[in-house]
Amino acid sequence: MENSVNPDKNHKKRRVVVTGLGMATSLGLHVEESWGKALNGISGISKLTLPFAEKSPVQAVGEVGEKDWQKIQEEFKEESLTEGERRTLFALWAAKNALSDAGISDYGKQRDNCGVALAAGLGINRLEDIQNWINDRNFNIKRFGMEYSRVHRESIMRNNSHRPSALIGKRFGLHGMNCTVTTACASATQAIGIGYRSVQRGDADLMVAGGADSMINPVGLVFFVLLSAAATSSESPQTLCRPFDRKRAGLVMGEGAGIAILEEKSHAVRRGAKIYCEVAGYGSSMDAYQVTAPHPQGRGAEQSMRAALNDAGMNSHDIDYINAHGTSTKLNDAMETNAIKNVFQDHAKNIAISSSKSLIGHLLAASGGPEFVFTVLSTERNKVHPTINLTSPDPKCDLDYVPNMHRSMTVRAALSNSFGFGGQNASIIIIKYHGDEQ
Amino acid sequence: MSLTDNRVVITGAGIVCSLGIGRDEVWDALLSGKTGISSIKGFDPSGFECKSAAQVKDLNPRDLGIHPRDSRIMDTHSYMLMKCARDAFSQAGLDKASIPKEDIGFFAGMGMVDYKAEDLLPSVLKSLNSSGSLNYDMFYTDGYREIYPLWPLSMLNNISFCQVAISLDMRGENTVFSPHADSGAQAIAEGVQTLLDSRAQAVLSGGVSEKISPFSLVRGLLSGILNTSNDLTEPVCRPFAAGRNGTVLGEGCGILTLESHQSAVERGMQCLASATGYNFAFESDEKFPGPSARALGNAMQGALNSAGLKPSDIDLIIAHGDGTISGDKNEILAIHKIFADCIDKVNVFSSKGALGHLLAGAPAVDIILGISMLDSGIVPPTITSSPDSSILFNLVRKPLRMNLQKILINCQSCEGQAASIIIEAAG
Repeated sequence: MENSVNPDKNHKKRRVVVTGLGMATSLGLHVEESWGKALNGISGISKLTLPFAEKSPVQAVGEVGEKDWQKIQEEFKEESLTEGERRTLFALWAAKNALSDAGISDYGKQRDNCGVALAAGLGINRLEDIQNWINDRNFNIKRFGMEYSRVHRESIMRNNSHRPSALIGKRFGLHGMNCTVTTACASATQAIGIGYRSVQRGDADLMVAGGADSMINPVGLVFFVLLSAAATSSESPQTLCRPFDRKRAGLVMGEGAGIAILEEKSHAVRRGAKIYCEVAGYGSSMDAYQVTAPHPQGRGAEQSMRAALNDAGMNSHDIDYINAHGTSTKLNDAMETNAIKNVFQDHAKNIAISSSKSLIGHLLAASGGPEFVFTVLSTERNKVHPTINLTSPDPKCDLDYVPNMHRSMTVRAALSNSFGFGGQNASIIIIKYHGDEQ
Repeated sequence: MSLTDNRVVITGAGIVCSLGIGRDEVWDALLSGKTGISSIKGFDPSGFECKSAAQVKDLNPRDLGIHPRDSRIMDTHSYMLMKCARDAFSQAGLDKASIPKEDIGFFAGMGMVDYKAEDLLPSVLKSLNSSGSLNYDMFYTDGYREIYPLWPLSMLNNISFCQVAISLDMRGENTVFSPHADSGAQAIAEGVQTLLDSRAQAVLSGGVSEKISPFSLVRGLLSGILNTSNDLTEPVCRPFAAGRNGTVLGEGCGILTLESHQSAVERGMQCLASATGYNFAFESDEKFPGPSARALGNAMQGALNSAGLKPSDIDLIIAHGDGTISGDKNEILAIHKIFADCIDKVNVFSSKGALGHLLAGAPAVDIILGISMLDSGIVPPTITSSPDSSILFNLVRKPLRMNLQKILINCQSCEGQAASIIIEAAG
């Protein structure tokens, strides 16, 4: 049985490098432009522009701007006519840019050794899908059954969660494994982790990995209000998301996608690909505590960071930067701080920590995607973007969150956290790429 | 086998489907040629083009000891997952084992979750203006408050998964894949790899179908895979039949406990089977929302390679065989190609005529049926009608007694991914 699943396993693990990045967020459609804005602490959060939503309890969101959205639709004309969800087109945009950044553009080629691991969020629960079939104040199931072809193209019934991942596979000729991860806000980091392990063990040589999501629709807007997790203040949108700040009052939604190309090292070197960084480790955990709240001391968060460090064979003092989950909710930011202290002990205060959510909002299932992109850039370029709006320190959050100003610093290794509703957690570690001498 | 080999074995199996609860009940029904497919119950299906499904008998949350506080955000899919996970957990003795909670992993394929009309109806009614049209100002100010505040959690398919993790206090490596049959296979492959990498000592892996509801039925109809003829004179779902006309949705769940052979032996657990190979391949058929014959062939060949087997080593294929015209055609072509040298000796079984299409639940359920086949040396009958004349393999239509050692299990995603898994007798 030595020759069972993946003979490669018995050899030294294959190394996995990052060779391409792509994103679409409220900061723009291009990685360099978005990174520049992030370093300068420019917020992508603005007043909601969704039609008929003037009375929405949520008024501040990180939207992909209308001009950018039109640009995406022009790029994917065919899909923009058939697909019902913004997230699907965000995913295509980010994947195409990441592939092209990695020097891959001949999509006609059969690529059996390349795959996709993508996070997708919830579909759109349209109120009209109920309203259209109401008779005498009841939902008329029989008439709904007879008229089902009228179901709107944006409806959850026409958009399964595997759609974005499958379309990337189809459009770009990636014929290896293709999977969709749905673990709430941990999804994208888990998808990247699955992508990393697939390459590491030889199930694929290259994986397109990340996430795409948008919940800027009527039911989506009230989703986190119902769960008492959303910031609903009417103060200026750009200062509403304030991770680790004493006045933080809940998450601010963003939308978009962030995707990375994960590639087996020698495959990348043979192609002469530009290598950003190396993925060094990944770990996941479950709180097994409550579906409504994270474990107050961050038990699961601590475990997932430890698992990633173990996987990377690294010590806690090797980490210079943490891209935090940092949701700007009371519960998360306090428990994440506590978990970081438990894992890193005395070194915790030396680590630069920042939350991308302060800039682009919470991209929910996709959040780990753009955050991974920023973490890679921090590690490659020795620059860390700030946590903006951090003006009133919280005694429970007493670490170095790189408040308001970016920092130039040596980043040997960085860790990115994502924690999902329900209690699923994931952490991934990036290190500088040093070629073969490692 | 030496005690130190690192093969992954199955030491627990929980199954719920339309033919019953638990491996014995399901097996007896399957062997006697029963089908769980019948007219849809629970709502009026008379308006739908497809009126049949394979539904599970009601699972009562009280019987599962689930608090009403928790069951309010749960549904049939949650109860099936809870039941199967608990059964797999206890069968493998994990409730009595001294394995740290952090070293127990959990991976599942899960479907889309649909709201119940009544969850949103009061909110919609409160948002209608005097002429009966939807007014968003009314929704955002008052209407949305009619929604149960924890309802959003019930819409996330990972919440049922986390409820199971809480119930069994499993804290290790984990992921939820979605939403088709391939996601259930992905969960099993990831579970196997997690054990091979020693990232867990034991893992629960498998998948669960969607609940049959007006909305899941419409999702199936819109994807074009369902049988809409409603001809009840022959089996509604007819895998590989000449007159096949689409598939039928089913409810069901399968969860396996996986661990290393060494761990099973040390803990004195019975090995039900070994999981020895898997592979995935993606390519959508141009005319059909499923994988091409090429992708299906690549998945099977890759699984054989990873298990170090050649086609003639396989005693039985548990096919995806969902009774769709193109899906079955592609699978026939792929089997003919990969097994060309031994095609007249290839036995093929499909469970879908009896259980319906279980989506994410299908791979683990088929593996659990495979375990019973390895145990008994009997392949149960495929519920179908006269086979497609192009078939060169033996479609098992009557119980077949044979020496069974190695089984290949296929599954397909409605978006174009093919997956294959190989299990072998524990030996």
